[in-house]
Amino acid sequence: MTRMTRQALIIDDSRTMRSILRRILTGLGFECREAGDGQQALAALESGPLPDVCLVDWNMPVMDGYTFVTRVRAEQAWRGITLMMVTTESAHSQVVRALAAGAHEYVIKPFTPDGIADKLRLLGLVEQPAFGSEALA
Amino acid sequence: MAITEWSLRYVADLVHRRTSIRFGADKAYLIEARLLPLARQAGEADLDEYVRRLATDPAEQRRAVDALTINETSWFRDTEPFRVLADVMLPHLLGARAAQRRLRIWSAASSSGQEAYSLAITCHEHLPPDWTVEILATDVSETMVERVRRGRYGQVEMNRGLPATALVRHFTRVGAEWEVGTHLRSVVRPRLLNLAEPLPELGRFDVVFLRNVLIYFDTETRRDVLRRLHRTVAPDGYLLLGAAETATDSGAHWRLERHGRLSVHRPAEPLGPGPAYRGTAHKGPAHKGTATTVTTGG
Amino acid sequence: MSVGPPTTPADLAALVEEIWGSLVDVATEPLVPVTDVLDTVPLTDPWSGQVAIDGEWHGVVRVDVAPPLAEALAARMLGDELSGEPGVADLEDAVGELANVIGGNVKSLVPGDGVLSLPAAGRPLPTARGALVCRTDHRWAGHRLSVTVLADVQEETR
Repeated sequence: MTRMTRQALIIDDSRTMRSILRRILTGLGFECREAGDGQQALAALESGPLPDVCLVDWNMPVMDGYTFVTRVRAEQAWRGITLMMVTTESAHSQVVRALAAGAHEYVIKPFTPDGIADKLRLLGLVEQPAFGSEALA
Repeated sequence: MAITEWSLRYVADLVHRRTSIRFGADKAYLIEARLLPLARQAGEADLDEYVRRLATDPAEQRRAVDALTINETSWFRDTEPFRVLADVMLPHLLGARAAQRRLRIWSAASSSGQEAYSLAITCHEHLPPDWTVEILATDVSETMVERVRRGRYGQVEMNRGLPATALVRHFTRVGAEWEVGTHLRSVVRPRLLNLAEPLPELGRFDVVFLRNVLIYFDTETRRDVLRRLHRTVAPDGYLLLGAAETATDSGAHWRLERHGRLSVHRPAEPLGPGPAYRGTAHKGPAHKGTATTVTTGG
Repeated sequence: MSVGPPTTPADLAALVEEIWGSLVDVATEPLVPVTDVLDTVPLTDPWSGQVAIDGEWHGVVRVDVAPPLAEALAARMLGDELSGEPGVADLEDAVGELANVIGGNVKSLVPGDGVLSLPAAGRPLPTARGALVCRTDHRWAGHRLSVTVLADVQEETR
């Protein structure tokens, strides 16, 4: 059975940061859409196919990422969407808040492409490689 | 900037003397890439000049050896080994060690400690609170041993394979870093140890993780390491190698056991005192909570 | 209240190096700390990004980047999405995001919880005001990057 290409929605007010994340996710086989704040992201959910995963920045104008997460988790129709925070907010209490609000995972900036890939594997959105990478370099 | 033959040989020899790891001629690109940042930081524009400096600078030597032999590591690396630990090994050992209520685990190439602390997290989350776990974390690098002792990691490292729920449960912020909680640090004992040399007396372990280090040794050293390690694994214990490594070339001392995608080594023939052990092989996924009866030797 | 500065130069330098390393390739071109005092004069006509931190501690984190470095950063962040040279909006965005990530990490060093402002970026950006907490200077491919942490000056006396 062929699986449809996984969809990602990248939500960050920085175009350069969205660009980095888009490159990483495209490399992992995702089709990507972008939104510059929580409000735009909600509009994207209401139109077009639902993403498998949203990468959500916290601090954004108009509507921040935390509010976006609470809005998504309140909607029955959006329950299947995986929510992963990608943010500089790194206080222990902030991580707890986001998870309590319904975020499934949390990436703290700075991150590397491997870091994002690892988290997506934990979430079952990217396959484990057949053998672990272990060669020198 | 191409490094000279002499410099490459010197560096390869330095690394081999310190760690027994072999760098072939095919690794010239790697040596250049990893030493270049160090050379720059040391203020040397020329890579060969930097290598010449290594000959008389022990601190720089340590930095160079570390840069060449330390590989990026992550939490719960490859996932499967930790799943099998939780679903197969710990349930078995919960029964087999019910009298002692104590487990000993060895992370035998611990690097910066993510493996040892991942083992600690798995044990903490799957064992009753009145059980004692001791996790020995050894590495050939003093820098790494110190890192394990400190138990502190930066944001980039914390993003590598650690579930956010584990982060909030087991870590606290210390400055810009995250620190492993005392409940886990107290369980992990870091120690300097070179696997390529004769082992000090370490006792027996129920589980040994020897992942992604054998590949750096030549065949003879590999055989020696596995032979020495055999004495440290409990007769009903487990040895885990890296994803594509097997100990088949060590002869009849080990037998392979398959758990899903993972192969686990069990002692086939104990060396030293104790009756010969023939345990029951686990077939397929274990059922959590089922008491597995296994006769232990001695 | 007599405590040490919330951020030490060593902490700040470590942060800057880790963050810069996650955005550009430092394997072949490292970010090198600058210690020569002659190299720490204010940058001329830099691209600047700034975030404010407000909470128990009030202050700003300011990033000043030599223009060629800002261009290199924007080019690397945008990758294939960029055709030709980075424009003003691209440079503002890149330097602003750099300030955002550095500032967010500095926020985790200062006392208490705080709120991070959205970044401001420009060339020039109005001079940041405040008492100097600490500053780091680095070079990458010969060009300078300077990060300054300033604390708001308290007017009231008790």
